[in-house]
Amino acid sequence: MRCPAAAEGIYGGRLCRVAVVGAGVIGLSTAVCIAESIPSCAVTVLAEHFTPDTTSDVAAGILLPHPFPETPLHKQRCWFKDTFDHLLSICNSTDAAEAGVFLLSGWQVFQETPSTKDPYWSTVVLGFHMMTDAELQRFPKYKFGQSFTTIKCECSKYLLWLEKRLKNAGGQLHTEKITGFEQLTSSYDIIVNCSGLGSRDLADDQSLYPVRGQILRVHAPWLKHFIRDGNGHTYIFPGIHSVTLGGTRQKHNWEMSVDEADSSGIFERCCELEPSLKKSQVCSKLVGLRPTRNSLRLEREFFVHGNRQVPIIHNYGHGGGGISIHWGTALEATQLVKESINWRNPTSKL
Amino acid sequence: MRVAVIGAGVIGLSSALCIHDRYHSKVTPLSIDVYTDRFTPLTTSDGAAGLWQPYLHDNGNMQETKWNKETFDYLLSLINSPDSIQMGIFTQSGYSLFTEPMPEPSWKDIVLGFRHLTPQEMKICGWFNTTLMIEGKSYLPWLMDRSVCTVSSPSFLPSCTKHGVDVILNCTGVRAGELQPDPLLTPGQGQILRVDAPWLKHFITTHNPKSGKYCSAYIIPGSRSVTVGGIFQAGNWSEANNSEDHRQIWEEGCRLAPSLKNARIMDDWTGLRPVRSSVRLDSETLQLGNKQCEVIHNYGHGGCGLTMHWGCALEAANLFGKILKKKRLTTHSRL
Repeated sequence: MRCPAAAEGIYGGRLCRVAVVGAGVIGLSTAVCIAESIPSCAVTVLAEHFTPDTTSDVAAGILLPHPFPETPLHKQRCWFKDTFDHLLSICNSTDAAEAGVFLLSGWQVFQETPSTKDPYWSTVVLGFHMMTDAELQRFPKYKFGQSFTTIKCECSKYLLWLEKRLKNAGGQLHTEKITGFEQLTSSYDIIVNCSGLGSRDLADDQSLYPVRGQILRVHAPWLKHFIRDGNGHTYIFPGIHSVTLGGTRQKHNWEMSVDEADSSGIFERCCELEPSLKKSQVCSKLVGLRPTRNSLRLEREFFVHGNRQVPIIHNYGHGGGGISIHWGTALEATQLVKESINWRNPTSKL
Repeated sequence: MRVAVIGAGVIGLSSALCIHDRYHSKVTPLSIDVYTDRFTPLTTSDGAAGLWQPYLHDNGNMQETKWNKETFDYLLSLINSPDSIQMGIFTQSGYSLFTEPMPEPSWKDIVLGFRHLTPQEMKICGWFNTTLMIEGKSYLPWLMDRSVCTVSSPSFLPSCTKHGVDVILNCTGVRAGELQPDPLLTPGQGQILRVDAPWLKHFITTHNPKSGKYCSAYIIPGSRSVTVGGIFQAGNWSEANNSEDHRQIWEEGCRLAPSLKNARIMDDWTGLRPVRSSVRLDSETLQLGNKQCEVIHNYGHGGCGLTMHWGCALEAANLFGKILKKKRLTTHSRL
């Protein structure tokens, strides 16, 4: 990478102005990564919604990868591992409580033995092993299971913590809905697009679609393990102050209001997995739309507006796996930003 | 038949319940009364974190290993029952850490998913397993609600016999020596901090073979708070919290789990573990005044009362059964 002095030359002695669109886990982590590792950048996050109103706030935040059918496996594993390692060091630090990051052990159980007993992420999480017969006895309808320790990253705390980290690194946050990249080209040198489902309109990407997820949050402080049905439709994820029960995976469903039939379905299925939940009290019901795509879009394109050509680094389409890979994709997006700083606007005659 | 149980900790209440459940239809009338000056939430059992975990070495005491296993299996059988939360039973996983490799414990096949830690997990040696929690603050009220009545009275054996008590169950824990001197019984004093740290979801126990049992830091999350401890002072009868122990517990706890540093400390508590080289669980006939009284002793469980209570209660019920047989024979032979 060329030294900051060269960057000064390109931008006439001032900092490179980076606009990050989106303030969910992807936007904030990418902004933090850029602000902390590229001193010559001035980072501004622009978003319509901030925590607690983002999609990330609804997610339970368990580190468990979501499959991208068209993204190479080695990339997915790399993003997951970078994220896991990053969060693990936070777990073991005095920041853990404020950041909302902690270790969580539990079980993923299957009614039918899965074709892949040893998924690629099994060597990233801790202590992964096949459940013993004695462990499976508590789940009579299930014949196979995986036991491991992973991390939970609660966005209601994590996003606030990232915002603080961003400000400490000189970054700014503005509430502003961006409806077109042309709004930004005159004030910013590089745009980073982390707008999640918003990219359907903003980046005109019709391959992006919502997968609607509804969850219940219940008070059940005696639950210390996660339990997930391998089919992904039923899960129990204990958090700091409540337990998340899920879920639904309704493709192309844009409905943001709570569906009571979904609520009862979720509660019943979770009680079957963990009978003690019958004694729990429901605190809230929430809906989030997972920004889903066959492959994650993490690449640079050039946006032309008038006589300006501005690099846009897209970082969206994480589906149900945003928190699981956020730091890995933030690192990769940051690398693309670094490369873009050295790119010269071809209309300038320097 | 009149039975007097002395002591309303987990040992007294569970023994009373076990005897009641097994014999109330065989011996009528069977009245069981519990005598105590302290009951929940002020007993030793209430202060204990409630982690099912025996000592690392059973010292060849196969009987205690059997009682531990019976207790675990019994609690596990209730885990999916409607009463489990009211009883204070739930699963929890966690870590046992050592400074050097240790031989595997007798309970490795009793708990669930026992394994050694992977290199990724810890730089030192240790084990991981899933076990059960049994919280005294929930379990004792649940036991009190079940069939036996409790009388609050600083009573001793003499006043018991005035009312014609046939069997006494001595579950007096650390103060058993006040009823009958026992040089093998000594308090294992321990202070704990209760902390508000709900992001902690694993127990962590450390073990230093040089400093002995419980002298090493431990962190045990519960349903209401996290217990942080690591003090064991043999022979210390003081139930007062002290600031030096508080400081030591807190420093070592924060070293073990750095995230604790910003947690709110709710309060301190000090309890006396009823330590004995082995549990006293036997029966004897005592002459009290002009009457003979059968006494079943069930005390000296150290830091493992909750861990082995049910196995001991079953054995106490067995001893009770033997007493019944003996009395019937006596009655029969008079005819």
